Amino acid sequence: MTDNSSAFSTQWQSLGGQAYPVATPNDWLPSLRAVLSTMIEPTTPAVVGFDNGQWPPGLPWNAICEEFGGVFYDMNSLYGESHLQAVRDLVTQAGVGITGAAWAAADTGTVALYATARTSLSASLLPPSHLILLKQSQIYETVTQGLKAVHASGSLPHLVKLISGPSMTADIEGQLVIGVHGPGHVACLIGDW
Amino acid sequence: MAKAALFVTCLVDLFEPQTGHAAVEVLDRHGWQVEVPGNQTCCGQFAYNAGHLQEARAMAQHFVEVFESSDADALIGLSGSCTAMVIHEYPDLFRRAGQSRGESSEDSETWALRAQAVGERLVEFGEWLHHEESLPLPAVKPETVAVHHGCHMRRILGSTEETDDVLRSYGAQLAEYPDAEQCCGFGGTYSMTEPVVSTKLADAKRTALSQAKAAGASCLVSGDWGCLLHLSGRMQHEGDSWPVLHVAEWINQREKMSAKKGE
Amino acid sequence: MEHLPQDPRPWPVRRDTALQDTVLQTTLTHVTHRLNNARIAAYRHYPSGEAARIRAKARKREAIQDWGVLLDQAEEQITAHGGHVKRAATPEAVGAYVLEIARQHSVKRVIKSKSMVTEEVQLNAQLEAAGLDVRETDLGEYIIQLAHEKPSHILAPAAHKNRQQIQRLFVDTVADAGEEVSEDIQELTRFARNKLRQDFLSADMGITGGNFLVAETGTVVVITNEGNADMVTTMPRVLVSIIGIEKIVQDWDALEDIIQQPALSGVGQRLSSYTTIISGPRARESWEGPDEWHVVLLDNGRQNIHGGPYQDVLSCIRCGACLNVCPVFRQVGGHGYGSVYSGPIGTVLSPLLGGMDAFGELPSHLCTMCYACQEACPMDIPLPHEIISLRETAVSERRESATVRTQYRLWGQAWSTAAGYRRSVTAARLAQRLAIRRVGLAAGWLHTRTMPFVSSVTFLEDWAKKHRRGTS
Repeated sequence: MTDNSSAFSTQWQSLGGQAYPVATPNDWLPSLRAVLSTMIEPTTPAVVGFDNGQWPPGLPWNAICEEFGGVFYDMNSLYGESHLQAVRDLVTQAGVGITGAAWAAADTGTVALYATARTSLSASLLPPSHLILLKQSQIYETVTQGLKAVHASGSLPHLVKLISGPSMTADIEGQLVIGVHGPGHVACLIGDW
Repeated sequence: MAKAALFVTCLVDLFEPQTGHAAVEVLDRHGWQVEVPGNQTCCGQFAYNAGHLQEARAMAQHFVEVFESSDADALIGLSGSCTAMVIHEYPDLFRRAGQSRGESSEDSETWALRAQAVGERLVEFGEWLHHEESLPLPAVKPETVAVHHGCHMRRILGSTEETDDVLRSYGAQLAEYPDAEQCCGFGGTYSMTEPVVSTKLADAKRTALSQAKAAGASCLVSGDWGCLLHLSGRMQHEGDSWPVLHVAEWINQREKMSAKKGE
Repeated sequence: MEHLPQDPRPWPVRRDTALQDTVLQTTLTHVTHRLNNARIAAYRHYPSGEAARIRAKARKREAIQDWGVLLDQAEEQITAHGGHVKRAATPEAVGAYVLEIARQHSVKRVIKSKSMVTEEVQLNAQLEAAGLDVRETDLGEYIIQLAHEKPSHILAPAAHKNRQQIQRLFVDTVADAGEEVSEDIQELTRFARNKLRQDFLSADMGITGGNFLVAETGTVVVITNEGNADMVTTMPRVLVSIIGIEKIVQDWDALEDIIQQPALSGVGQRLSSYTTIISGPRARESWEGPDEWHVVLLDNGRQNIHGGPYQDVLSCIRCGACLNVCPVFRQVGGHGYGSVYSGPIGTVLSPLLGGMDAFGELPSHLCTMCYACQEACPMDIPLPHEIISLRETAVSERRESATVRTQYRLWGQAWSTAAGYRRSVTAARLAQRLAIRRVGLAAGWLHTRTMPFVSSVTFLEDWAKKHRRGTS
């Protein structure tokens, strides 16, 4: 793992997220099976995936999800305005959302998502579990570098979301509870392909 | 021989004169000649903090006049809070008060600069002692004490470490207790205009200090009689006679004990 | 409508209610200490966060100074990206604008993420009066909305309620008939999540505040830990961001430095769990985001602070650090202040926005002048000096009792000369002998604390006696 990857993993985990290194391209399949086995719940079998073009190629998503009782929906097959409501309905029902990321930052343990045609922010928010597929080369040392990249991209995405750990609250008696409105279970798979 | 002019403070003068005497003895033992400007009164902080700007200015002017006429090498203050007032608030106080009383800005600036010059010569007692070479005194038995630093000593002068070091060098073991950095609730005339909250904060401090007491602290030491009068006043009211001492008194006790042993 | 809502109960009632509330006392102590310790640890282990803070402070001061130009720039940018900007001078102007948009879109249900500014303009009351269903979605805000109360802490609005009270509240207000509600905090949170999830999905309009507004790009930044602001910005068709004009920062560089400060200072995290950065309504090819985005820029008295002696207070990023260290706040909590803005920042901001008649007692009665707030403030706002300055205003406006005023005047006069000081010592001894001690300021001391006696020989008297003939 690169320095940035391991620093990111440490910080992400300290925030209550999970981070798994994927050592070689051949390890994607077993890693995915391991993490999805903990995420897919029988009552909410839908797994929604938004491949932003940054995913490792050639993975048998349907088969992996079926193995644990889940149903995989490739959201990019629903591209277009006419499918807007269908996408929203699916994401609302899903137990797991899978996304890539625009970038990540090690010092704050942050994953950045842009709202684009190929990425859904709600997939990172509505399902109780969120899985992020991250390339090592996408991880900056600091969130400041990441923010600079947002700005340098020329036209700003209309909606950018920085996720730094699971949804949490301490609003009742100051006691920390994980998973309020957003997912309580957030995991990153970090590797190369 | 270096000469010190003692800024006694009104609280020490009126209510706790033994602190002034103790400070004089310590200064003397460290080879300083002591002068006490007899016309000194009060730094005016109680009025300043309460928003009575002109009253505070009048007292500040008196203070500046009294102490700038001293040729002492250092002005030594027996309160962190009053020392902070003179050093850090006076110049701006003269400027603002001058403006609101229609003084010319040249006059205000002159007063601000005179105040600044006095402030540059002023040092709080614990800080002064920290800069002194420690006396070659034979060791005496360590004593566990609780220390409460006034908020202005802590946050305006920023000199709590100095006093702690001095106390330790005289054999103090500083008992820890929770929220040591929280205000005791005195706040000058706040203790009188808002007695309910002020007393609640004194009780919070007493509750915290009970841990230091349980750890064997023989007394409560502070560089500020404002906090000590408030806390001891509350203790006495509640029938608690735990001793409270000014830093100068505790140091003086230790130096005396050491001197006896050394004889 | 007043500029800033005020709790009609007088200070002594608010104070005593708070001091006697054992739930409040326990939770408040816990919450303020936890957040404060987290803040201190966060900066200590993160030197670049501290370096960014220092840069952020300087740039924020400049942004406030130049806000006229910057707000124009922000408006241009937002408009260029397809958003709409409304400058609102008063609470009524905000309410009217939001209602007009709601009417255009036939909005029935509004969901909100936490926003102090909407508390300030009493937006919920204005919208509800017009028949809209308004739902707060921050857990703490949700709880106090159901209880019809006000926030007791900027970051922990329901800090004054315990789990039993919240369980009863849920049963009484939102639980379905026969629905079980557990007293377990985890379960209570899950219950609220499920209830609010339905509201999120059915809402037609979202309302958020904003932590920062970037002039260069027309970007609004909203920070939460729960993820509710993300829901509010992502789900409904129409989004309204309501922002105090002091939230302006110049450019992306300035944002990079300041963006971490609310979390570092407020909760001791390097970033909160969710940071949402909005620069326009939904792009056509994009899955989500609002179809329509409105940004309301609120003045409500802020322009009057600009250019005056209290301008630095406009640099506040509402992190709550000053609340957590304030000894008085730790005792009385947010409700003690009778204003939506509590703690040291509220002590200054409330009278500036809401007037001295309504909030003039805050500077005098809710500050011990301990300077802990200034030390904790990431923007180095000189709150103690501002409080002294407000006390000066109270004095010059003769808001103290005549007795107290006279006492200060005589005291100040007497102690400005050595002779007067000596006379006052004599007078104090006389009063002591005659046991006349229960007048004016001194009376406040006596009920709870033993009064020290003026020494029979003061230090200066003793010194003068011993050194009269130059014997030193």
